[in-house]
Amino acid sequence: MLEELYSWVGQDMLFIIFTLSIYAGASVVHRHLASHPLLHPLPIAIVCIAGTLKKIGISYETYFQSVRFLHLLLGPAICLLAIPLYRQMGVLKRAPIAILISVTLGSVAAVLSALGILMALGPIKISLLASMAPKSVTTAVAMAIAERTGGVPALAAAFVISSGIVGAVVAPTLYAVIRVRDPLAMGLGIGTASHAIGTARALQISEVMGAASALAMALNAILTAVILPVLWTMFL
Amino acid sequence: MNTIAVVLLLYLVGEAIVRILMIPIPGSIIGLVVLFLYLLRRGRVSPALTSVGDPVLGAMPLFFIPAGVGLFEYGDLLGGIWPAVALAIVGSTLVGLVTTTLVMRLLAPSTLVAPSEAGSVSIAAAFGKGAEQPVGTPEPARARSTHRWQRRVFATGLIGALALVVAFPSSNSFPVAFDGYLRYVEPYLPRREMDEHKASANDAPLREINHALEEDREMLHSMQELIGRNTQAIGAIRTQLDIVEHRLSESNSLRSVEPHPTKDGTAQPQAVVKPVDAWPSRRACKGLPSSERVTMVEFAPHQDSLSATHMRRLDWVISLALDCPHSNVRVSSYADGVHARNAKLSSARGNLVADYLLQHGLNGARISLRHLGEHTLERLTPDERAHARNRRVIVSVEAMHLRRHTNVGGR
Repeated sequence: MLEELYSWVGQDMLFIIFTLSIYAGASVVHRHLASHPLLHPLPIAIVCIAGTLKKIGISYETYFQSVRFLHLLLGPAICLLAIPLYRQMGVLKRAPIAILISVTLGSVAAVLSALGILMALGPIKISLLASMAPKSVTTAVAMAIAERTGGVPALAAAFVISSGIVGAVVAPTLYAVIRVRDPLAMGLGIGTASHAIGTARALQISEVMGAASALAMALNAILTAVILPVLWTMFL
Repeated sequence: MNTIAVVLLLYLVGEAIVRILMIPIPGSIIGLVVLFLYLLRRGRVSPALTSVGDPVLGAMPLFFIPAGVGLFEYGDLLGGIWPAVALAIVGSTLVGLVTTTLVMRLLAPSTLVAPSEAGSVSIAAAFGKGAEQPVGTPEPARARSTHRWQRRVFATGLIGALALVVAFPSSNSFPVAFDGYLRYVEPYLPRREMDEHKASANDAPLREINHALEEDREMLHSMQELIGRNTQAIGAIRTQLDIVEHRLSESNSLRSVEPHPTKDGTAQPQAVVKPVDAWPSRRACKGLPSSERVTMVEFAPHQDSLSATHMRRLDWVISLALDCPHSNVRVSSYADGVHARNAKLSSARGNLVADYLLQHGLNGARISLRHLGEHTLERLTPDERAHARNRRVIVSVEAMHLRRHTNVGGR
């Protein structure tokens, strides 16, 4: 059955079609059926795809190899975030110092709280702590930092992606709860805590928010890459 | 079309800058900065760039799916500690979100965007229902009711998440303990992690000890191999000895009969000589231990020659193949995936190994060479380290009763 499908369009194309249609389906569900922030298409699509792969017995390696194309587009897409950043310059220019300070503090708070929770919950290996620390920055930065501080890059990447998804899903609801409506502040928060995944989400909400998020993401990546290894040697 | 090429080139430029400056910041972020500076200079976003940028940015969550699906690979890896990890991720993400936002509000409360500028910014618009509403702040009453509703959902979600955290470890779906994670992760750990305690990035003595240990390991490996070969040789000698003794006893019995015929003159006992020519090799093949050591070793990046270790290993293969005349040798080369250059390199390595086997007395008809390239990979992850395990050539000797693998490479 599966082999026959392969022979029609080839395995890679088949998985790309599969991924796109699952994502499209999740988006439709998100928009028309529930339209609820906790039902973001990304986690839904991920869970559906992972479940299906398990069901039909395809390994993640095979799947990733096939849909590598989508993964490769991530880098250029992040470059393109300069467009909303430029368009929303007017808003971002208003409080440069405040932006810098809030992103720095948010970044430090995220790192410290992650380490604090882990250490409070029991004896954790130092390599795990080092993998967890850079979890709020983009995957590539996090992997590089984790490697420098003695963590496991693959694990760091997993933590980064999951905190991105958590932030993207939870942020709108969270902001409703703490009654923040300033798109600039909201975008900065999302970008600091959940990097590119959060930025993608923020862009869907509004361009100001997306631009603020992209700015916070870039700032946080640079800050964390510079500060965290230094902090790490001081802290431990 | 041109714009797509330009954007991809921009990304390339970003990566190049990262390589040149050796900074731990991804090329995509540098590309972002470069494009931003360009736009500042240019003063406007060209329609062509918009026509590429907007759809791509709109589809951005899609690009995270390949990496996101991989998250499910790590469940087993983390074993018993995953609730703590999940809690830390969720908790610290919330803390980061709230801290940044509140500090920003505190420092610059005036940045609240005026309604005219707000776009679809209002909180109601952030949630799907309000998305089609006209721009502007919603009436307070409506906003409050939205808030109540949101809070209820939020509380439900929180309780649900906690319930999941409590329920899952007891359901025994993650049987691998933390030790399993550590063992799995061991090869990827940086060198200084061999010591359990903290080690700062430039801990010279530790690194030296580590280096010494590494050398010791290499030596022990070669000794182990030597012992393995000696065992084989002993096996072969023993077989030969068996044959010689067998023949000796036969000739003895013959001699004892021939020169001194039995006194009663009955017929001499017939000496039964077994056909021994096909025998020793078969015996040597069978005599090998059934579970030979499989060593995971690879080529270093860009290495295109055989090291001493490779040659030892190949010599072992040759001696095995020569011992077993009915065996075939299969050489399979693998590449670590992404680049065509790697595929070329891997087939070159395959050829190298096959040539070595040929030059050292193995009949070419018995060697089959396969370039598997990136089609059958041992491991594939976005992680560069795992790729190292794909830089290898596998040589397998297959006989009638025998199937051995040994990986040729060097670490």
